Amino acid sequence: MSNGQLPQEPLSLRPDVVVAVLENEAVLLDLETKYFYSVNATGWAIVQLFENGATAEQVRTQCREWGAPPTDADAIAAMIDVLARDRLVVAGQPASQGNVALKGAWSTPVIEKHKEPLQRVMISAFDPTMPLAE
Amino acid sequence: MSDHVFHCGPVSIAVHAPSAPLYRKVAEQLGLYTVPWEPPYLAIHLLVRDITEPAEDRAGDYLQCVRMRVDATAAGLRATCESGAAAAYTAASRSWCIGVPPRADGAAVPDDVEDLIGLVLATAWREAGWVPLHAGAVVRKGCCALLTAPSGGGKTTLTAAFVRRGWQTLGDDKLLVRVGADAVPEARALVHHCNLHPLTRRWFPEVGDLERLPRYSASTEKRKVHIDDIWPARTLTRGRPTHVVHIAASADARRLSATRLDATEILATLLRSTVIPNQPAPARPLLVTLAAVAKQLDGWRVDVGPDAYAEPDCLEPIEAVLRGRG
Repeated sequence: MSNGQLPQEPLSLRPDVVVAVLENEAVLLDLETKYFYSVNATGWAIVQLFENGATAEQVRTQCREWGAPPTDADAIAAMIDVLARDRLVVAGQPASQGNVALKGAWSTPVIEKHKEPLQRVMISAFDPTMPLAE
Repeated sequence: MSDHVFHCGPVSIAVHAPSAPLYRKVAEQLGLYTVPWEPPYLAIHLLVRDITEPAEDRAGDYLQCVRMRVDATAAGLRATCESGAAAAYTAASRSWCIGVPPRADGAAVPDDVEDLIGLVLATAWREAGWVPLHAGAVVRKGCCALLTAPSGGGKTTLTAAFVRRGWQTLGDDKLLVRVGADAVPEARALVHHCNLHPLTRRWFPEVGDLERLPRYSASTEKRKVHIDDIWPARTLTRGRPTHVVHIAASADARRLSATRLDATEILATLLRSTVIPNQPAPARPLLVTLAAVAKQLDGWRVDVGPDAYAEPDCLEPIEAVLRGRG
C-alpha cells in the first residue's frame, strides 16, 4: 500500500487482529505476524472506524469533524498507511456497526509498532521462550 | 487401572488411566502442583490410554511448539507430538483424551506426553479465567516483583538471591495472574519447587550438595528442590504485582545493574512471558489481562554478570529501585 495512494475501498479490522483497550488507548496484536502495536486515544478512535468498516476518505472526513487540524493530515494518512500496509485492516465485512466517538480532545494520532514480534514457536503450552544454554 | 483427582491451582483434573505406566507419567506431572487453592475448581476430565497407531500430524494453526502442534476444531482442540502421542479436547464436556502409541517392550512413556499434559493444564487455567505466566515472583513489604527471563535465563537464581535477603516468593517460574473485578492485579502460586543448578552452591552455600538429588530432566543438570527445605517460611501463595523485572545477561562478570523499562517494554515483557494461541477467542482475554496488568507495573531490566552473585550486596541496585515503589 506504500505507493502514496491510500486504499479507496472500505476496509475493516482483520479478524485475527485482537485488541485490548486501556482507558482511551489500545494495544493491537496481529496473531498472524505476532507483532503488536500501541495506539493513542485518537489512533484507537481511527481503528474503531475501521472496526465498523470505513474507507480512507471517510476516516479523514470523520477526523476533521473530530477537530483534526490540516497539519495532522499527514499523520492521519501515515496511520492509515501503516494499518493497510501491515494488513491490520483489509477489504471485507466489518465485525461491528455503530457510531464511534473520540474520547477527549483531538490529538495527533500515533501508532507504534513494537520492534520485535512475539514468539511464533513455543517451547511448550506453558513456556513461550526458547531456552538459553546452561 | 487408576483413577484419581488432582488439584492444580484453580482446576481439578479427574484422571482415568487404564495403564499403570501412563498413570504414573500423568501423576508425576500433575502431582507437581502442590500449592493449595481454595474452591471452586474448574472440573476437567482426562482419559489417558494406549492407542494402536501414532496419530496423524496436525498443522498447528492454534499453537506450534517445538515437540507438539495443536489445531482448533469445531469440538475443541487436537494435538500431536513428535512421538505420535495425541490429545483431543471436547470443550462442551471439558474432557480430554490423551493417546500414547505402542512402545518397545520396557520403553518409557515418551517425554513429549508431558507437553500434552501441559496443554491440558494451560487450557484449563485460561478457561478458569487466569493467565499462565512463565515467571517467578518475590514479595516484600507491599512490593511484588514478577521476575521474567527465557528458560535458563536466571529466574531461579535471582529468586534464590532475593529469598536469601529476606524476601518471600510465589515460586520461580510458574504463576497465574488475573485482574480482579476491582481492577487490581493478582498473582497466585502454583508450585513451590524450584530447579537449582548444583553450581549455585558457590554463591548460596546453604543449598548444600544438590548433586545427591536426581536430575529433574535428562536434558539438564538442575535438581528439583522445595524452597522451604532450604529457606524455611519463605514461600507465599499470592501477591499483588507492583513491578516486573526482566533478567538479561551482562558481560560485566561481577555486576548487577538496573535500567528502567518504558510502558511498551513492560507490556512486551509480559506478552513474551505467556503462550498466546493463534486464535482470536483465546488470545483476546490474554492480551486484555496482560495489558491491564502492565499498566499498573513499574518495569526494570536487570543485567546480571556471570559471577554477580559472588558479591554479598549484589542485589542492592535492584532492591533500591523496588523500594522506591513498595
